[in-house]
Amino acid sequence: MVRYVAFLRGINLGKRRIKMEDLRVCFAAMGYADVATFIASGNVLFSAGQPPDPAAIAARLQETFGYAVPVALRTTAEVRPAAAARPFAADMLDAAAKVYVCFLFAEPGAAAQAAMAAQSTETDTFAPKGRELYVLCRKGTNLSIFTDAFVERHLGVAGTTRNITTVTKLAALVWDRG
Amino acid sequence: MTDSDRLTVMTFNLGAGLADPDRLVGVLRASGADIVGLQELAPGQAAAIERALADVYPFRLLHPLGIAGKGLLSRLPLRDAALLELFPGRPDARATVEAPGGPLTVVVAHPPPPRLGRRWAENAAAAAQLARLVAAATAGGPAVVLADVNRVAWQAACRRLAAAGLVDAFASAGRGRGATAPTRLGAGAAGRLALPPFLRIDYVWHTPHFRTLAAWTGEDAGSDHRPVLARLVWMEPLGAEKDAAWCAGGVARTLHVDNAGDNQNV
Repeated sequence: MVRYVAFLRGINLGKRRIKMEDLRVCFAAMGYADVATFIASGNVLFSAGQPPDPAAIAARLQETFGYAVPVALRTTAEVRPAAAARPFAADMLDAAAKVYVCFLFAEPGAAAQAAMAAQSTETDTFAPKGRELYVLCRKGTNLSIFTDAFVERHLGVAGTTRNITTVTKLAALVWDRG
Repeated sequence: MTDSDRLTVMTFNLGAGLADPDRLVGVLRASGADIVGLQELAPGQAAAIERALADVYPFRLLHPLGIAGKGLLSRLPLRDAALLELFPGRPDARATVEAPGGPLTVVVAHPPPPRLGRRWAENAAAAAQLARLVAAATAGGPAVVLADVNRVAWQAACRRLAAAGLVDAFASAGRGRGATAPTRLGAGAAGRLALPPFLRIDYVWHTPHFRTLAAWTGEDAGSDHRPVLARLVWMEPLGAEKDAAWCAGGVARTLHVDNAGDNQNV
């Protein structure tokens, strides 16, 4: 059995409210074991014997909850280095700076990654790395050009974003409890 | 956050006797470190530590073997302190520190430097040592690795530590280049030519249970390395996140709404 984290996009905002209990029941009904959720932004931990298909999980979520919920899937072994990566130099990180990790639904090509990195401004720095996009917002999110649509336009791949603190706490959780 | 949530850790390669014992005692006493990992600890240095620092560091593991020497000094109780025979004739060290935040695994390590023309068997032993160091640090629970890795951050050994999920404290919050070696060339009085160090090969690594508040290189004590220190804070307990950036109602942009639920405990 391999332990996975499913990062769900765009739940628990607006009218898209999903109870974590319902989410756990849904994943258990798909046959996954040891299902757990971490906070309410759509981070589901589960174990599976065969590699799960994120598209099949997304389809089941749509069937259950009535709207599309794209899924970025990672093993817990992949979440650990994603939380430990330090793509931005420490002296770029002042008190106002926020770091986000966008878990992409597929790995973009090298040209797309370069195109994304080239979109960096004085306010935002984009650091694509494998299936993750790291974003440094220096002046708070309101002044940032970073949106889902912006990422998809320049990277050609969409994803779902978490604050680095959330990713770090999730990494600590999988560290201790698998 | 109280002070019991914070921990200052230090790693210091003492240059197998190069660091003058009296100077070393002064640097360690002034460091403010709660936990110190020592590499290349020599007998004279260990004796000075025993003699002069028992008040600051009542808990000690000292194996003064010269280049293969290791030490672990702690203000907090140590248990299960042991040498790990991971590379022939060059033991690393591990202990559990009884920290206010809970038990903390501390690994003190010093993999041998890469050498051109090294025999296959030696390379295999070095790779096995690294794998077992990673295993010791990632066996579960909070851990800190205090190491002279003998390699800079982009080299495979360091990338392997990062791939295991260990965080390079200096890369997180260090100011400047963090170069620690070599601070002088050669051995013996004639060979001690002072140099500005240009290699960052001494590291504090930690598990995601901590965040690095600050990291810096410490004072020279006569060794051919400078120490590295890191001020760590234990992450708040899971689910207790109170990040104003997404508590605020005004950030409901297409992207950041993904984080809207992050303040809710489930």
